[in-house]
Amino acid sequence: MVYTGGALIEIFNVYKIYNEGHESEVRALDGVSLSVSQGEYIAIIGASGSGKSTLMNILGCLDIPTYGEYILNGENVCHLYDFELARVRNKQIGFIFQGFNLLSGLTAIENVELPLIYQGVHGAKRHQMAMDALDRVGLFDRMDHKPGQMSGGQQQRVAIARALATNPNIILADEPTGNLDSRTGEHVIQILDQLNNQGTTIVLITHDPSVAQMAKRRVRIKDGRIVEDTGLIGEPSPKDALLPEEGAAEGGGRSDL
Amino acid sequence: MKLWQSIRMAFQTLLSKKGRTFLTMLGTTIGVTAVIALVSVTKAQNEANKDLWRKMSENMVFVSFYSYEWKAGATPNAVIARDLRDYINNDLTELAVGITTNQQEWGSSVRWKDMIVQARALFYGSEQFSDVNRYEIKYGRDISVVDIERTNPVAVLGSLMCDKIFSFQDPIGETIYINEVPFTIVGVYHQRDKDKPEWYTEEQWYDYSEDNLIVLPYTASRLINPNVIIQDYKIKVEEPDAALELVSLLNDFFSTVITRIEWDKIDWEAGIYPDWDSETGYYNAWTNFQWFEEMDEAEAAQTRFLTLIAAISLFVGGIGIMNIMLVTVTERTREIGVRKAIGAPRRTIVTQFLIEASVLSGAGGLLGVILGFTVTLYWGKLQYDLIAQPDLPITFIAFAGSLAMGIIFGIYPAIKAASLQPVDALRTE
Repeated sequence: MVYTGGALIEIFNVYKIYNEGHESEVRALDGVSLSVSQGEYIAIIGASGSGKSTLMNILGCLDIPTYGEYILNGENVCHLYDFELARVRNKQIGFIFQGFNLLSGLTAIENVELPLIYQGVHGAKRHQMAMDALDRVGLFDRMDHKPGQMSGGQQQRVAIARALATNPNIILADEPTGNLDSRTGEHVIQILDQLNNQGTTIVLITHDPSVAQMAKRRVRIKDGRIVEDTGLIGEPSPKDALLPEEGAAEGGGRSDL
Repeated sequence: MKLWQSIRMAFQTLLSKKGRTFLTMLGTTIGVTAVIALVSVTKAQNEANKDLWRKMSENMVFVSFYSYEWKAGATPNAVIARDLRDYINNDLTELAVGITTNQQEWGSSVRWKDMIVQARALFYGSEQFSDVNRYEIKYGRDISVVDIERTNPVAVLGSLMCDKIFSFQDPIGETIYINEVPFTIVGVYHQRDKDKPEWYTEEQWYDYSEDNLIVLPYTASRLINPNVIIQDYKIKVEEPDAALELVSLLNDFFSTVITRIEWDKIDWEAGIYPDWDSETGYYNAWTNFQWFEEMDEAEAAQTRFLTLIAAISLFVGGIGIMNIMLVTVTERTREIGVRKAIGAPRRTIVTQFLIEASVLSGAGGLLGVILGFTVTLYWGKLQYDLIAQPDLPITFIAFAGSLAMGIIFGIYPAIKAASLQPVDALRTE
């Protein structure tokens, strides 16, 4: 199979099925195809239980699809070993979680340095990179504070800095404003906006329409299938060309728009 | 990730839960403390026993021999005795201080005029009797070679015996009777034993004091009792180490003049019987220092036993560490998820938890070493009033054991942590 289009993220006919063949079979993803190009700002919207979290886990290489293929930056990541997936997550993806997920025992700068440590960056260079990342979210003066000494908004900005530190191709943000009040949430969204303007691809997962409004492309997911994709207007996605070959993905990635 | 960084982080994590960390360490600490203190104090005690034994042994080698003179080819006892004395006094001056007969009779009656007293011991000695037994002449002279060669009826008294018979009178030249055989007193020894302790009555003390003795030339034994056969000798060596060497030299010496039955080679069941015809006598040379080897063996067995007990307690401590590490992994599932999400490979997670487990056990071990040293010093001082040196090899073994225990018991929790799927780990609240 030849993949074309040079997209950053390409998933084809991805299924995630739990307890397959049993009565309790759950199809969290039921044949999803999606293509995201470099520099896009895309929001994945859906109610809880729609499969958007599963999609995010697969996009973030935290989970592997039951069926289907996932090409990330030209590399098929569906058949990688655990340590290879760890490397891909470390280099390609920056995560921002709803609950911040900072390590409470470490200071802000140490939290930001963590992915760089796993990457094998040493000493002054690592410190410099972490400081730059903190500077970009405006928390340069808080680098020696521990998460407990910071507000929710500040913690989330540290988390963003941690995601930025390795200069990843994609930032995956899972409900980044979910635990924040609307004002600080807005601030976080602004930062994401800025990052996108500087060229970072952003995939935002949310159930909040107002947050999703900020994204340039919105993909709505329901019952494990994509039911709406505003990005398809006017620019045919590469997956459309492949659909006839796949056959099995009955309407999976097809948008009705 | 650099090792020292992981260790520093492990310390931080452990310090954030001080109570739990301390309680978990306690198992290892007690194990290490116990093994160091028990082994060190046992060793010190055994060493003290040996010192006491050394003092009591007074560097003595004991010899006993008897040649069957009536058998063809047997060397006469007198010849062997003379050769033995010459051998010791001429060839072995480096090793030996002197040799004396060790023949004695207990509780002999001694009469002077109308007075009859009991000598605790009547010795038949050589001219070196006082050198070997640490007596010193106070008045008169000692037994001489001439006395022995001519069978002179002379006697030297111990200080207590002299006091009892003569009080303030000069004893030299007086005649005493043993079995109604007259002996002339030529000398008196200085007091060698301690003064009479208060709890002894005077009568009792006569039975115990080493100063209540009378020494005759050994050849004079035949004046009193023609049936006495001199066969026991006592040799004093310069220092303890010489004793074992002398024993082996004496065995060589006797093997040339006496053919004895080697009883340890007799195995009746296997049909190996003693060769009675070739036997021309018996001999034996021994020293109390021979017991040292057996004491060392007993000590080694004791140490093995104590080490086993300590190993068991370390094992129990290790299980405690495993238990707490499993709890930690469960508690920190989310942290593990985050670390994996941002790119920590399995190996890093395994290392992190292994380091944490070994820092836990290592710190416990270190505390155990400190406590073990303290307990050794205090216990040794209080219980045995001796300076017990902490035994360094066992300290090293105990500490290494505690560290190894932490790593071994940390493996399972660490692998469990590393095997968590990031998705599942992140989902945990």
